[in-house]
Amino acid sequence: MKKNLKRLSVFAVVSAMVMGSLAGCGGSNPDPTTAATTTAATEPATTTTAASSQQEQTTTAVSSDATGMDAWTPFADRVKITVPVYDRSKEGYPAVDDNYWTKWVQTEFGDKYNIEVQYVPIPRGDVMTRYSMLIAGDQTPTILMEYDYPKVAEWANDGAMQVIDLDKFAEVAPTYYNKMVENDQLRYTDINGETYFVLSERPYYNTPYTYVRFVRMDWLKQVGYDHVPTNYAEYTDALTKIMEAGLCEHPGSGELMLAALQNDAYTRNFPYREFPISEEEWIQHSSLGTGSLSWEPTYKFLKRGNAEFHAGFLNPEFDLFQYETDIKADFINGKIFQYGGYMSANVDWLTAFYENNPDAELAVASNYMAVEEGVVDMPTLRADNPFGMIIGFSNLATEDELKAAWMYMEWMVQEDTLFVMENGIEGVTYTLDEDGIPVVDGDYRGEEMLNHNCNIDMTCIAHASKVNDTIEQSIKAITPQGLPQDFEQALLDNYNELQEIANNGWAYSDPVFAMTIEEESEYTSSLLSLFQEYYVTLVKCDPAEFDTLYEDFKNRYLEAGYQEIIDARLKAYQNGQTTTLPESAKK
Amino acid sequence: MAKKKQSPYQPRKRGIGFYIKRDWQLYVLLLIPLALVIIFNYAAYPGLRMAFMNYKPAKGYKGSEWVGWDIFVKIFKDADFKRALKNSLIFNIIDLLVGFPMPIILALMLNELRYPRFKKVTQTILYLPHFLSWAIVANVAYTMFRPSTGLVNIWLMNHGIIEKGIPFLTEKWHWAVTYIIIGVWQSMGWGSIIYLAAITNISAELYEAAGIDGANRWQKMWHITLPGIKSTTVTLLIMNLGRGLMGSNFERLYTFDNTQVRDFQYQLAIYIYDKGLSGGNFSRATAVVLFQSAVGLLMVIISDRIAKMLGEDGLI
Repeated sequence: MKKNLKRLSVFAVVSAMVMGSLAGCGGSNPDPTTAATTTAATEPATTTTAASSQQEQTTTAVSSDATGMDAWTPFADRVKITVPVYDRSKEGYPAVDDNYWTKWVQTEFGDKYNIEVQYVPIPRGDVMTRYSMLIAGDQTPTILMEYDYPKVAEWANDGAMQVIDLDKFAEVAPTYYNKMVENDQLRYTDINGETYFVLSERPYYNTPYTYVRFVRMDWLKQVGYDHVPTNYAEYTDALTKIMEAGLCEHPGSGELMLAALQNDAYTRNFPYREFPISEEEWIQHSSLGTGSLSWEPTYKFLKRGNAEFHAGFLNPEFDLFQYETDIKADFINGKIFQYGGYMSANVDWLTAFYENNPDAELAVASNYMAVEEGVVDMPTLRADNPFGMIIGFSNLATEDELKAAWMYMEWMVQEDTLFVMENGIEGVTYTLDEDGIPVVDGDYRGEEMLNHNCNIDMTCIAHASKVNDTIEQSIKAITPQGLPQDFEQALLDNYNELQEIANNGWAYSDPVFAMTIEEESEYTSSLLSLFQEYYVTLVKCDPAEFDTLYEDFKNRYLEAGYQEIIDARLKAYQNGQTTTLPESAKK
Repeated sequence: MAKKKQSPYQPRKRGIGFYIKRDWQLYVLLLIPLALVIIFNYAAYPGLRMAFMNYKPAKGYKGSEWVGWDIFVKIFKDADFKRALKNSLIFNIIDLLVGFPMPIILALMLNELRYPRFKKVTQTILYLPHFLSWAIVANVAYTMFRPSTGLVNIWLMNHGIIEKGIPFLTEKWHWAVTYIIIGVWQSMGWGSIIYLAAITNISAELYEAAGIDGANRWQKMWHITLPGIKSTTVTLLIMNLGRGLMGSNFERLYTFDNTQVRDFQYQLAIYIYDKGLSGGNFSRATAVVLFQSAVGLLMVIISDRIAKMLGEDGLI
């Protein structure tokens, strides 16, 4: 009897293996020989033929009936996975790797499947160094993830990640996989012809409605405006009048220029680009990685900055300020005209602003404020990548650890998990409003408090931002509460404006490369330093000297490594190893 | 050759075991710093091979490619490295010229203070900056020296001394001067402790004898105090030459950074961070540090020889 049982089980295992192999013959695994070129393709609307063929092979959705969570059983031996979590060093928040919610994950998920989930703090401002240290010390987290493609590409290229089988992933995590299929993300999973990544969702990637810029409507009214400036002529006129009326010394305060200098220099030239745009130029210069100093749109942007500086709009010391402290403090203290940030039910700087300026009135800035014929013809904006986190897996992870990591992702992407992770406990961290939408209490500081931005640094493995069923509900959920003004409609109008821009094709992403650009790793940090130096000099220089200085800086910048970078990018494009522009934006 | 007769008063030679047994508590205490030196100063030595490899953390030493001197060749061809090296040398020499004598002068002056309470208060005030981190020092400095909103410039403008703010920290030449002076201010008090200790070792009889001979305070300082601390000064100079000429203080440079002073601020510590550690290029960072160490060692040996040629004890 015992012998027969043994035989039966051996037969069952062998049958399962044979069936598995046969199933593999007709499976949906991308052909590795075509992957190098196919993943290079591109934005949803513009797949190449090769890309389309891959698409056909891999986009078959997986039925979650027989696979996924229902098929999971606890591991026989305890399996430990390590998951990175951003550490933003925010005051008043608990440790990112040891708090109520990390324990909740362990109880609700880990203990159920005999998995130990350990979080690894990654300083938000120094991601690469921390990962390098972990990798060097053979402590690579089971999951490696980042928002920037070049970073993960570097890890894959350096051997820190393992090649994965998307079919197996789909078996363990069908919901996750199907979301990737729905979002047309399978084209981004490969690098150098091998599959390394899975990708989280980025809802509304081309309508970044959660970031909102506010302007002082009370000042505008005082200088004769009954609406926010809707073009650059109105903007400069309003600022001049505000200065003349003595309402503010430097209304622009250099806030936008400083943001560009410190945080997002490379997205600021989007409006200054011609539209439609040359694909080759886009490939060479449109990048979050390296400032495109020598490109015409950057020239226009800096030239305008120089004019604004000499018009007195910018604070002469703007380059010495810190965006997150000095500029925010200036806005809160009623010293500047505008400030922007991400919205949530509780925006501390808006609350503080009204406390200090109880009679002030704010309005949401128009997305058309920079438009000026011949300089900014349309408010082109940078769409995010059509994905959130790019996720790979440690080369040190065992098969069980890999499976456990995939289970963690599948569990996290479930709606009920996300609901609890992002809202917390009813009556404690959130309440339901009259429409049944959860309203998070951002002031709650008890043990169950949610970490930064509704636990986004834990849920980012599932999606890049919290969403509700409809955009109206999502906007309602992020509308700041407890303020003298209600911005729900203004936020909705802002979204509609962004939607209009996206519908016109004016919102497009940066290119993604299916290979590592070595030259970027070599020169990016020194070019950043150079870019910042030239940037401030050009903004502050005598307008008569601007063009001569720019020419000089441009040549020095190209010689310092930028030429090598743009040549390498172009080569990658010519070899079909990049995404391409949507037809609507292509010249 | 006749065997040298041992003096009956010379202590009998004993084995090492005797001394260990006698002073074992001291040897146990010695083990702690010894272990620290071995672990942190020598155990890391095998890691130096990184400088000769295209080291990838994920591949480890075994999997990374051996490239010989390639990294060094690349570094020496790199214009950024040349700029960083030039700046490091210039600033360290200035730092040494300005910063090295200051603690000595300060120690001499403190030694001349006769009212004990005033002396103690002065010393405490002078030591205090040493305990402030560079982040704090730089923040305070920027608040004080900003061109139009800095306290110093506002005061100077309000008193009609200047019409336009002085760019103490936003123009490279002004920055260089301010940077050096702040560095001296931060370190001179603490640096004077060792000289004060050396001064206390000078026999009081020498001062008494000089007093009887009619020497004034200046002459005592010049002919007794300074010669009395000469060997300490030479030792510290050798150590400073070894440590200081090629090295640079990352925290100090980083916190005093702004876009307008990179021409001078870009020194080896910044280069190592920028082009090495921050991009995960450990090979380059190690190669530069190895180069710095080799030059530092050379400087110690040369300065030690010079000191010995001049009749001093030297260090080695």
